[in-house]
Amino acid sequence: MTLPGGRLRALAARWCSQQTMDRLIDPVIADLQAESELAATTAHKTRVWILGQIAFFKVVICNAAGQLIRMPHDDDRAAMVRAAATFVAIAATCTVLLTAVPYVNFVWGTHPHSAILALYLIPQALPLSIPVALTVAVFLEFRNTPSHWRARLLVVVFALLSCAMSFALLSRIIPANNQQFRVSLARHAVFKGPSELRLDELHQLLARRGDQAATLAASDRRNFSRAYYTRWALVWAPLALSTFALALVNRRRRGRLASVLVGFATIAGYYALMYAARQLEAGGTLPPAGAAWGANVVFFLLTLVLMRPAGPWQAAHKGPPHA
Amino acid sequence: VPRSHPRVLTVSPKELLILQLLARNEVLYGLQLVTASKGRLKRGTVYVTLGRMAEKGYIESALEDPPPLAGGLPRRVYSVTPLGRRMLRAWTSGAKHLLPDFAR
Repeated sequence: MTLPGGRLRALAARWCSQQTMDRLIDPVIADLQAESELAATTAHKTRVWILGQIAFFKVVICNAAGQLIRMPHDDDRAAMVRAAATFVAIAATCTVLLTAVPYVNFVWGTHPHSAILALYLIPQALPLSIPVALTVAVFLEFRNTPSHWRARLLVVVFALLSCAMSFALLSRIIPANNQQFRVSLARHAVFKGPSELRLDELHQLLARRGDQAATLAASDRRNFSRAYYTRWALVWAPLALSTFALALVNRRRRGRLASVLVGFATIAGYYALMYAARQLEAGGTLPPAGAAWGANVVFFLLTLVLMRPAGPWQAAHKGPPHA
Repeated sequence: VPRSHPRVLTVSPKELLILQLLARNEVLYGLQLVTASKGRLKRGTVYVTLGRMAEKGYIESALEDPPPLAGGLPRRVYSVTPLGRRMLRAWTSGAKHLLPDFAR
């Protein structure tokens, strides 16, 4: 008779260190085996087996997450904490500013429930404020030390989580909020425009073929297409910008002010590229997909170029750490 | 405090609970701790907490005799170290001073 947990243990032994096996994996498997031995009925054995499997995977996930955030150097640990604080501060400031401008221009004093309408504007600001905050935080807090690969991996994981959050916002939450905001402001039903359609609704419109496609005017089709691809491109902005920032800070050390300026210049460059691509798209030079993805592609390519190993010239010109 | 161990001498609520249970029962294994905690500790995370406490030096562990089953793994039992006991005493007396209700 094979004991429960044997396969799980063999699987874990491939990936985990001896210390992890001794401290975490083996005790979980030993509990599973001992409990299973004591279980009187098949139903109880099954329950023990399921609980043991869940416990095993929880331990593996908790251990992996713990290993990831455990920085071996105090400098990296401190940089991560400072980067998190800087990210929150910049994201909050940007969100307030980006919410305040349309609020003051369009809402303030025009509606009896204008304070509630401000809430509809907050999600709109987040897909812009998150990449801005992430980029500046990386430039500012990783400027002094060549960061450990775990610190860089953690930034990439956080960027991917930001991408997931941006996707949720841009695909469903913002379109629904936009529509609610317009209806509240107009106080009657309003037709949905490209910014008010969910991502799946835009996809359905663009996927129309034959007679159905003829019901959509060419200009409308272009507007919907632009909105669709731009939203997809903005979803990936946190990853494109943060990986570029990581590659650039590891290339050359800068002072605090220079890091902030380079951070904001990067953001400005990204959105300037996006704007220029949109102008080219409006002139018919670029297709909507190409225009929307242009900035991301350029930044991913620049990141690849910057990630090349430093040559003797770059190594010689890498400045000393700034205080 | 050594620079390479910045987290030593800190204690989380779960770690404190484990210290209390181990101080009361001398030696327990993971599932016994989960049962004794009446749901406050979970079987999926208790070993991660125990591993962290062992790193901090609050607890130590030993393997029981192997079970009679062929190929069965021996259970790991945990006990509190002198440092863990001192930490528990210090925290308890500190809490009694700060929160008089705690002493009742």
